[in-house]
Parts: sequence; C-alpha cells; structure tokens
Amino acid sequence: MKMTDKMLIDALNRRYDKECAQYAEQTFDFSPEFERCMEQMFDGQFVLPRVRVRPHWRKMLLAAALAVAVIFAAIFTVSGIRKPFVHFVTEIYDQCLIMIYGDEKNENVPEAIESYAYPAWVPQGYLPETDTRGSNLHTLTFTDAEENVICFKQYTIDLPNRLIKSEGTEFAEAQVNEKPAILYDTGRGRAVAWNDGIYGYEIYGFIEDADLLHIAESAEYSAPDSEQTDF
Amino acid sequence: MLFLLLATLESSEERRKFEQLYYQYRSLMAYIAMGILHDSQLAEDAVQDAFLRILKNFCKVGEIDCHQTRNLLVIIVKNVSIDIYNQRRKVSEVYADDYTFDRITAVSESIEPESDLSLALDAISPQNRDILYLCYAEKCSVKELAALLGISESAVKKRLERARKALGSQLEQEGGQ
Repeated sequence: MKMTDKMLIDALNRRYDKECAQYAEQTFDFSPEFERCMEQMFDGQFVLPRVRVRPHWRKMLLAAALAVAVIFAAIFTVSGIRKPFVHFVTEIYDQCLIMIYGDEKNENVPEAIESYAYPAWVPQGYLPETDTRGSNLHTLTFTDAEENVICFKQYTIDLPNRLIKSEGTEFAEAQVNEKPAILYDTGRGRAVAWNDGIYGYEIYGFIEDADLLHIAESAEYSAPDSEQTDF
Repeated sequence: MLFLLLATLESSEERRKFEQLYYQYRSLMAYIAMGILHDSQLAEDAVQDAFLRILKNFCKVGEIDCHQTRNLLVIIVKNVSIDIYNQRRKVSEVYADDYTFDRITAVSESIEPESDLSLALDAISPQNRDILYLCYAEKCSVKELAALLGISESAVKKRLERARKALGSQLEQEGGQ
C-alpha cells in the first residue's frame, strides 16, 4: 500500500476523533482554590502561583525551620559567638554609613562642648549680660547702654538645625584666625559664622563687620573645669 | 506564569477565545490527567501546565468547538500528565504504554481498526502516534512541537524519525501478512 500524507492525516484524525469522542461527557470536580485562581487570572488579577506543599514536606520544612531557630538561639547564648557577630554587624553598619555619607568623621569633633569659648574683646560700651552653657550650645550676650545686643554662640558641629537662612541673604567671605568664615545679614543685625574645626561659632549684632571679626578673632577657650562666668 | 502569558495575548478577542477554550475543555483534560496521575491536585496542575503550553502556541488553535482543537488539547494534556508522572517517579523517557493507565488504555483498545493504516497506527506507541498527529494533522513545526511537548527540538526530530520508522515497519508487516 502506498501511503500519502492525506491518507495518514485522515487515519490519524479518525483515530483521535474516536478516542476523544469517548471522553466527551466526562466531568471533573475542580477544587475551589483552583477555580478561584483561574477566575482571578481571567479577571486580569495577578495571582501568585499555587505552591502545593505535600503534608510530609510541610512537616519537614517546619522541622527544618525549628532546627534553624533553635541553633540560632543556642549560638547566641554563647557570648564568644555573639560578641564577634555583633561586632561584625556593627562594622558592616559603620561601613554602610561611610559608603552613604562619606568618611568625614573627625575624631577631634566632640559630641558635647568640653571647653567654653569667650571673646577677649568686645566693642567699647558693651557689657556681658548672660552666659548660658549647654552641652551643645553656649550662648553669651553683651548689651550696651542703648540695649543693643551682641550675641556670641558656640555650638558643637553636629548640632542639628544650625541652618542659616540663605533666601534673600547676601553672603561675603571672610577669615577668622585663618579659618574661612561668612558674613551675612540677619534680622538681628550683621552676623559672622565660622568653625575652628572643633566647634561652630556665630556672632551677630548691630555692629560693623570689622568689629564682628575682631570679636571672633579674640575668642579664647576657658579652662575645661572653670566656673561659669557670673556677669 | 499563566497570568504573564495571558497578558501576551494581543486582543481581548483572543483572551475571550482562550477563556472559552479553557471552560470548554478543562473537565475533559482534567479527566484524562486524572486517569494517568490518579491525583486530583496533580491533575489540576497538569491542566494548568497544558494551558501554559497552549498559550505559547495559541496560533495553532483554530476553532474552539472543533475535533482538531479537542484532539490537540487531549494530546498535550496527556503528554503533560506523563511528564508529571515521570518526574514524580524520577523515570525519564518513559511513555504511556509502559504503564497501565486504566481508562486511557481501555478507551484506546476499544477502537475498531478500519484499515491497514488504522491498524498500523494502533500498533505503534502512543508517543509515536501523538507526534505524528501533531506533525501531520495539526501541521506543527519542529519548534512548535518542542514547545507543545516540552522537549528539545533535537528530541522532536528524533521522535519524529522513530515514529515514521515504526509506522513504516508496521505497515510493511501488515502488508506481508
């Protein structure tokens, strides 16, 4: 018999038609979970693939999770393991901070004011009025007979909210003891701000720039354990 | 995965067609898968996998209510079920005729041969028969066959060659008798 493609196709179709015709009326009860999953998919909702874990696998997974938890808890009760681990985590955290913010940590920058600074010179007529020593902020005020005020502020460099309003403000560059400084206007007169690499400073008042810089350059640290100045 | 593939169907008409195809044939497909796997959850998985394979070659699906479409789906779900069965048994390259699939074999054996060619087709293995059907009746390319059967293109070529040889030798035997 010479077989052609058409004969083969007809024979195959007949073969499968007959086979499939016998399945035609069969039914199958799908699980509600499967039905819901498919319906949601046709509704265009994203459905996580069904993960079927057989009961014995479920038990094994639970046992494995428990074992890991117990081992983890056990090793953390041994300080010989815990300490290096905590140190390792701290090291990673520090490295991440350096990566994010840059390695600008200065060991000389104290977290609190250790030596309070005082100007050795103030314009004639000004007398000390207040001296407020905080751990991060040290404020001195001087007043004259007409109640004009000069304010001298010393603060730790990492003190938050030490922002200078820049909008509508003109800045001029200056130097205080060879450190860069800026001169600008505030609502309370002219101001000068600088830092000496250890603390930040700001002086303001209704006085000339030259006087501001003179006060700034005369600033000196008092002895660490000196008594608070009683004006 | 099925959700992502559904998104690849271009028009809403195609999506509707796929949905219709699913609702029309899912029971039949699950019944066939159940006959092979004897596990309703696995049968559901087989149906889902079979529709995945169909989605990848949705252009091969013509009319929905048509014997060719039905035959195609039956062959695919049978192959998927056998794959699942093999994976679970960790046996590779074993096909339907190596197992006793109660209902499937019962149905296959009850078909009356009409000609030498039909006899020869009955005599060859279901694996060979399926690939011949997909290749000749459904006119699938090697690439499409590989996607539908979940095997490599080289495996498709080998299977096709084996199927043609088996059918040829079967026809020779019958011609000689």
